[in-house]
Parts: sequence; C-alpha cells; structure tokens
Amino acid sequence: MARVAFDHVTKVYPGPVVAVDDLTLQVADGEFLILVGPSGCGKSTALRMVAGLERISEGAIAIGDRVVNDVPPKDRDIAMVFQNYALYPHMTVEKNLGFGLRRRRTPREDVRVRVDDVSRLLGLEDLLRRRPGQLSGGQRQRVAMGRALVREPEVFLLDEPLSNLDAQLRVQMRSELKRLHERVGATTIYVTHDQVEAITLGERIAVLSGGVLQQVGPPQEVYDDPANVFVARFIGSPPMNLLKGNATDGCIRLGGVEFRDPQVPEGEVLVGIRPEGLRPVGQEHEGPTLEVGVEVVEPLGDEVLVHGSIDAGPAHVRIGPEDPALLADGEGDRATITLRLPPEERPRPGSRLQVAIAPHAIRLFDPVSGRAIRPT
Amino acid sequence: MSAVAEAPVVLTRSDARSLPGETGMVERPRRRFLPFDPWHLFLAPLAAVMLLPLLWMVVTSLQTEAQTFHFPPILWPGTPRFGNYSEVLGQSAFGTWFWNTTVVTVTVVASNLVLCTLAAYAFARIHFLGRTFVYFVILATLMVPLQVVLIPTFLIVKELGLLDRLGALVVPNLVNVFGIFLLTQFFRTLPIELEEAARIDGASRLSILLRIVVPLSLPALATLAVIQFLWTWNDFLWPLVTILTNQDAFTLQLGLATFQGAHNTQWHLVSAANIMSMLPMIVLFLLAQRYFVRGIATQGLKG
Repeated sequence: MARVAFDHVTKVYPGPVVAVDDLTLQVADGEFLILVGPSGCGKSTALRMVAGLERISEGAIAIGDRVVNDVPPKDRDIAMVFQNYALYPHMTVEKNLGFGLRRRRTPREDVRVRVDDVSRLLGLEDLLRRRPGQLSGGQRQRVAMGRALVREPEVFLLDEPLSNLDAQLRVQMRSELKRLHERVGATTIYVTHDQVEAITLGERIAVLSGGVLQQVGPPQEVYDDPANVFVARFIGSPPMNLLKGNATDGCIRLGGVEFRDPQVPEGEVLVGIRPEGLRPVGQEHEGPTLEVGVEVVEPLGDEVLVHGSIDAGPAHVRIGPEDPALLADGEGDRATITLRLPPEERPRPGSRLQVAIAPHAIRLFDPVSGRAIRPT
Repeated sequence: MSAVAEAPVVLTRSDARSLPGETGMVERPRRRFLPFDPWHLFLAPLAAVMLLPLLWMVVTSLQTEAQTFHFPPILWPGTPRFGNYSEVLGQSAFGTWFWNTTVVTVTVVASNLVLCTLAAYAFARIHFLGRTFVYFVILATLMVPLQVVLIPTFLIVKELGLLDRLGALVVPNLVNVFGIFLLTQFFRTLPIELEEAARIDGASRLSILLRIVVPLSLPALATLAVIQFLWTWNDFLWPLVTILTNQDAFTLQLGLATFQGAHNTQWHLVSAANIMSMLPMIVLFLLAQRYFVRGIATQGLKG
C-alpha cells in the first residue's frame, strides 16, 4: 500500500488550457479519497496524471516515496477502472482478468489462482468464459473492478466507474464498492461528478472547480462548513440557499429579519442556509422568522422540498468559472429559497409560510471573494 | 473478369450487441403486406443485372466454338462441354500462370497487411513531429494517376534488375497507400481507453498492437486483404509492362490475353480460363465476408 502526493501539480494543454492548476493534495495510505467537481473541472486529468496517461506540466506526483513523473504507467503499480470499463472485447472475462498478470510474466498457475480468487470475490465464476459483449452493464462493471483487483496494486484509480449504470444498480454497486474497499484496504482515488456518490463513498472528498482545489475534508465537514460559495452550492442537493444580507454593528439584516453575529464584518454579506436549516413555525413562535411565499412543492416520499421566495435581495455572485446553473438566483428584490421539510408538513403552493432559522445553520460568505467568513 | 470486384465491400461496425435474449427486448413483428421485404423488389432485379454477365460467361465456357458465334445467342447449350476446361489446362501453361499469380498476390497481400498496419498505427496513435504533414503527403500520392508513375516505376524496377521476373510485380506493391489510409481511419475509431488500459496492464506498444488493435481490426484487415487481393490478382497493365518475354513469369491475366488473337478469339476457351481464374477470388470473398459484418470493436465498452 502507498500514499499518493500531489505537489503543486499543474497540467496545461496546448491552447493554452489550464486543466489542473497548482494542485497540492495528500492521499494517505489506504484512504478512499474522492475527487469531485462539475465536468471539465480537471478531476479526470488529475487522475490520469497519477496513472501516467497524461504528462505532468509542472510539479510532482509521488506514489509511496517515489516521484513518478517519468515512470511509465505499467511501472507505477496502479490499476485503473475506466468510465466505459475498457474491457477487451475480443477476450473472454477470464482473459480480460488475466491480461495484466500475463503481461508481467506471472506463472500460468499463479494467474489461474488469482483470477479464481477475484472472480469468487466478485461473483464472476459463471461468467469467465463469456465475452464482454455478452454481459450486462453491472457485470461489465464488476469485471472491470476485477481486472484492477487481480493485479493487487498499491493504488486504485477509478474514473466515474458507476456513471454508466442505471440508478438502482448504481446504489447497489456503491455499497459493494465501499465493502470492497474495507476488505482490500488499498489506497483509492475515485473521480465522480456526482456529489451524492462523493458524500456517501469517500472518507475524504476533494472538491475541484476550474482546475483549482476548493476544499478537502471529510464529507460531513465539507457539507456543514463549505469553504466558499462554490462548495456550498455544489455539495448538497438541493444546494445551500444563498441570500444577500447587510451587516452593521455585529447585526445581520436579512429580509426584514435581524440576528446577531458579533464576528461579522461591516457591509454586505452572503448568508448561506442549508434547506434543512429552515423550519416552519406557528404564529406563537418568538424570535426572528422569514416569510416564504410557497411556489413549488415536491414530495419525495421521505421528505418534501418546498421552493419559494422571500423578500430579500437575491445573491448575485459568480461561482465556478463556467457553470451558470450554480449562480444563486432570484428576481428583482425577491430571492428564491428551498426548504427541506418532513413529509407530514406539506404546504400548498401559493400559501405563505413562517420559517425560523435553526441555530448554527447560518454560514456567512464574503460577497466579493465568495470565501466563507469563519469565526476566528 | 472482375464481377466480384463490383460487389460493395461493407464495413459494418454495428455489433452483435443486441442479440435477442441479451437485452431482454423482444422485437415486435411488423405487419407485412408481402411475404418478403419490399426492398427485394428493387434489389432482386439489380442482382439479376449484376449476375447476367457472369452467367453468360459460365454458359459460354460450356459451349462449342460454333455455338459461341451463333445468333441469336444460345442461352443454354444442349450438352455442356466440360472439355473446354481440360483443353485450357492442357494447351496452355495455365498451371504456371496460376502459380505465379498466387505467389505474387499472396506476397503482396501479406506484406500490405503487415506494413500498412505498422504505418497506420503510427499515424493513428503515436505523436511525432510532422505526423500530419507526412500523412497528407503520403495520401496526396493517391491522387497521382498510374500513367504518371508508370515509366518512373518501370525504370526503378529495371535498375533493380527485376524486369521479366515476379519480383517486378511484388516490390512496387509491397505497401499500398490506400491500405495505410483505410487502416489509419479504422484504428482512430477504436476506443483509446482500451489501449490505455493495456498500457496500465503492462503491455508494450507492439503488444498493444498485436493483442488489442489487430484483433479488433479484423473487419478492416479483411477488407484490405480482399481489395488488395482483387487488385493484384486482376492487374493486367503492370505485368504487361514489366514481364516482357519470360513466359515462365506470366501471370493469369497475361496468360488469358494470349487466348485473344488479333483476328480470332476462342471465346469458349477464354470463358473457361476466366472462370478458373476467378474461383480463388470468389472463395476468398465468401471466407472474408463474415468479418465485414462482424464488428466487435465496441463491445467491451458501455452498452
């Protein structure tokens, strides 16, 4: 097993296009790290640089104690699972699994034993004589995992391995992957654009945008305490509500409501509140409440998502280089807002709802830089 | 002479992915007004038009000389004269011509498969300085007509001392630019991830080419083999120019021409000889045909 270290790694494609910009990141021995971000954020490029499929423009990548910038892929002791699996179509499952071992001149008998072991682990025993074209998506996915496992590499690299599966199978394979990692314990770097996958699978997640690392940490920490507005909007579904507030004398005004925060600097601030940080209250509630005009109600079975607007300035801030969907939005002097409610509380569209903000649910961001304002 | 050459060579890459029972989807039978596909109404007459010359040649090869000149043409000889075939084999050096043509064709096809594959892989996958430029320069030679290069090539062959030998037919045709083009384009369509996976698996460049790229390119290689086979087997002009007097180095096409005199042509013998010279092409085409329709290149990827 080995750790992986990115040391000021930059990748520039001709153009010039900077795909990865000064990435410094440590992946501990045996850790399951997720690289997550929107498409084109450089996460796959970062992974391919570890694999040796892309040259590193600047900086260094180390696997274990060895800088591998100039080491060919086959000598890096890594295995990779591709998004489209890249199984050799003309070979049987057995040959696909054994291909890497045979190229390394492993004795025939050893190849057989290891292929048998891995196929038993992944439940592929009955498929060994088939070709990839005769397998279902989930089976192909498992063969691709098997081909990586059979080599017993130091580091696993997975490039969106679940994105070609249907939703149900994806959830199933997700837990299978987690179990597999606990069993094998190899250092794993997993690339995905799906923040749900990132939160559920990773021991730590690294959020990338525009080739720049935004935040690294355990999923809960990243969710609870996003480093900037990009992370706040990207991690979590529905994303964090961002509203424009005004701070004077340690007091934040937000849509006719005031609450105290002695740390806040003077002037405009962005107030971030997760959808579950807002809860409806009756008239008898004491303390500040926001009035939400309910527009759309989405019952999801175990919860209800309520989309509405409040009488506060919408927060216009550019987050992420070219993903307008992530811009906090709203019209005129009303800001859109999303609430996550228990299923029994289901307001009617068009009604008005008094909501209170849960204590500790408020995150503040600088409206210019987008960075979190954290208590010092 | 080359009825087979007119048949379209189809490179089908749609694969056998959707075998029934695999996807679980059942195709609903469509309601039909005819017991066959309506396209057959168009295609069957077309096929008949294509087959007619071939059929006439078969008939002619079984007639007497007198019958071949009869008007209106006799479409079916009363008693087929198979003796025409033995006459061709007995009276001419047909065996030698056939052997010469086979040697030349097999050598040229084999060398084309090997050399075009190597060149095409380099153009498709290896980055080197001036790759695009060199590729287009090579492709540009496709636009130069044979008549322009006939004399220069003849002089080169002469300098090499190959005139009047089979080598004159082999050496200038070892690599065909069309083959490089065909294979380069095909290799580019192969998913790069397969090769990347093989690189990580520890395969060398050559190993990737032999174990991944070539097996996946069988449809393209079969196409190239058939086309090259037809060209070489049927080539008449170049052998005519370079094989001057040496009867032992005659190819089939040169030999067939000897049946046609200036004043008198024995059509029944010409037809019989033609049919015998066509057989290998027909056999090859039938053998290679299944590769044209078997595209397996994308099966390992997402379904």
